[in-house]
Amino acid sequence: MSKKILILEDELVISDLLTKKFSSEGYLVKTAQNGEEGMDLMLQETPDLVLTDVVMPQKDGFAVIEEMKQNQALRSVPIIIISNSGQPVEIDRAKELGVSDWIIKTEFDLQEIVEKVKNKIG
Amino acid sequence: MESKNLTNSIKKASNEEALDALPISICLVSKNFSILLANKSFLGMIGYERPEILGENINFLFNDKIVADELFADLKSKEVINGEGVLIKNKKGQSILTSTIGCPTFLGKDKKEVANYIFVFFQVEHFKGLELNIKSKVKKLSEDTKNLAQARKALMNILEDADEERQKAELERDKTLSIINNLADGLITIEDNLITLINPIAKDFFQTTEKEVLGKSVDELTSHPTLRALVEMFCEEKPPFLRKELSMGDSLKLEVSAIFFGVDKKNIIVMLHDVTRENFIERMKTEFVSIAAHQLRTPLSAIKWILKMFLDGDMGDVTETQKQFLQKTYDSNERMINLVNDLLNVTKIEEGRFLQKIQKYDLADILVEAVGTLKELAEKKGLSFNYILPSKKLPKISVDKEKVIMAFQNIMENAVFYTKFGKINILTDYLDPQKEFMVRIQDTGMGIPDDQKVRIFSRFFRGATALKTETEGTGLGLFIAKNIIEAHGGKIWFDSEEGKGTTFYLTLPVDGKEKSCEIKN
Repeated sequence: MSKKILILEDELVISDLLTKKFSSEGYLVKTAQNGEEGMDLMLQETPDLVLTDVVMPQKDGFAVIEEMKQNQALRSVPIIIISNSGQPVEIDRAKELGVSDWIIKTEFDLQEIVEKVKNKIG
Repeated sequence: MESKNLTNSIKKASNEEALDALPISICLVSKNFSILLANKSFLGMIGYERPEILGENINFLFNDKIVADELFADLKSKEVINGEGVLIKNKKGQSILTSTIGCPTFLGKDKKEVANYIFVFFQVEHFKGLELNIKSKVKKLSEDTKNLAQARKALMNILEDADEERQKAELERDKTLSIINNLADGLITIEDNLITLINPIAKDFFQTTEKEVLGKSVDELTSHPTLRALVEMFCEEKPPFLRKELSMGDSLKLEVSAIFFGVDKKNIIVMLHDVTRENFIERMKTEFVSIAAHQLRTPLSAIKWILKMFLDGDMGDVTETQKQFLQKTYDSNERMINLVNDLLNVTKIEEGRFLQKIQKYDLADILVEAVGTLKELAEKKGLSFNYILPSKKLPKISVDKEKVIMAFQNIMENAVFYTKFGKINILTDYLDPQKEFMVRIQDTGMGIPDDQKVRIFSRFFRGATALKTETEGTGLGLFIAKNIIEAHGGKIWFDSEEGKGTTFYLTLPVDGKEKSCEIKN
């Protein structure tokens, strides 16, 4: 069965590219443009992996992650952060919350991101 | 009759004696000017015996008959005559200069009829002598007065000059005071460890008055509520010149420039410049660059991904030519990404939040990570790349690993890029007394021209020779490296000779610390 990926990203161009790439790799992709929308989608249907940005309107990435950890169903969903930047302080905090990867967009190609996701959920 | 004659004789005799006793020449003549009486003095003056002249007309004596007639005419009209400089002849024929006074005497009380004339002669020689004496005394006096006047004039000149100088000095002093009081910056002077001047702006900065501050010593002011922060800067170090920022809370930041001079550096001139607004603007600029750079990352990553998809064939087949162009575009985009990264690092340096995670590491491990793939790159260029790692037995250093690696990489990459042939050596020494490591990065590359050495560490500076070489430097690499090393408490400098090579020296103290003062280029 195809794995379900939920992408939380407010920049449409990024969101579109990620969707196209993961779709072409055989994943089922859903997208949300802010943390609020993302949470709603997650609660409707539990994804196999969440790809989320940090800076978003209406609930940022960290707020989403914290909420997921409070939720029985979502607690164990693997999370990968895709961001424009990453301060060591933030990255440490994310790791402590159980985030498996912090990807800085400009440092990775799409293929590399796909590899990371594959490593996590196949 | 006989007694009357006797009385008259006695009278006459005593009159004659009295006249003879007088030192002035007196002659009594009749109204016809015949000599009736002559006293001893008169006789002595003219050199005649009494019998010789009695009964003679007195005019025989006068040299100038015309003068004599004039005098007599005046006398006849009952006037008193006063002839100055009248010449009379003595028996020897010598002329005697006299003042001649003639005076009529009258019969009866009504003074209508002349009885006799009295002539009195003063020898002018006497007067002359006196006059000469007086004249010479007067001359001397006038000379003395002249000298005195001159001396007085000279003194007045000196006083005037002195006054002029004093006025000039006062003018200068007023001018200086005016400048000091109207300076847009604060000014404090310290002489012999005592505060001697504090201008209005400085008083305002520290919310203090002259009374609180003037004459007090630097030590005393360490208990002053606001000035203590300033004087504490001086207690620590006394180089010839100091420039540091002093924060007086959020609303006031001062740039303190101090010059120390004199024995024991006890004299200090302190200038205080309000940089609150400058700092604010700098912060705004930095924030703007930061925001812009962040915003740029989204389109840059999108371009990167799309181009890669094309290059990987995800969008269908691409011709070789198309691939080449796409690759060039991809590489250009990578350069932009690097530039944005550097810009963001620079803004972090400016905001003082550059060093993040400080932990202990072995310098050897850091160097290995920094070298990374550079050795292969260098050897591909035909260069020899050697590095000697420090022993792991040496002390660990407390650093922000990510940043230190960045600093080393920036310099090592420069060494590789700017060297066409020869070698690159990386050497490490541990300096025990200073408790610091020194890393030397030597190359046999193109070197840095003398006139550009000063600006090497400036933002966006790329040397002229470097520009000619096709490399992708952003010009921020050395600026960032310098800030990283200095933020850890280390130093960075270099030797270079154009055409021969360059050696960079970096020191890192074992217990590196983040400097609190902002690092400007």
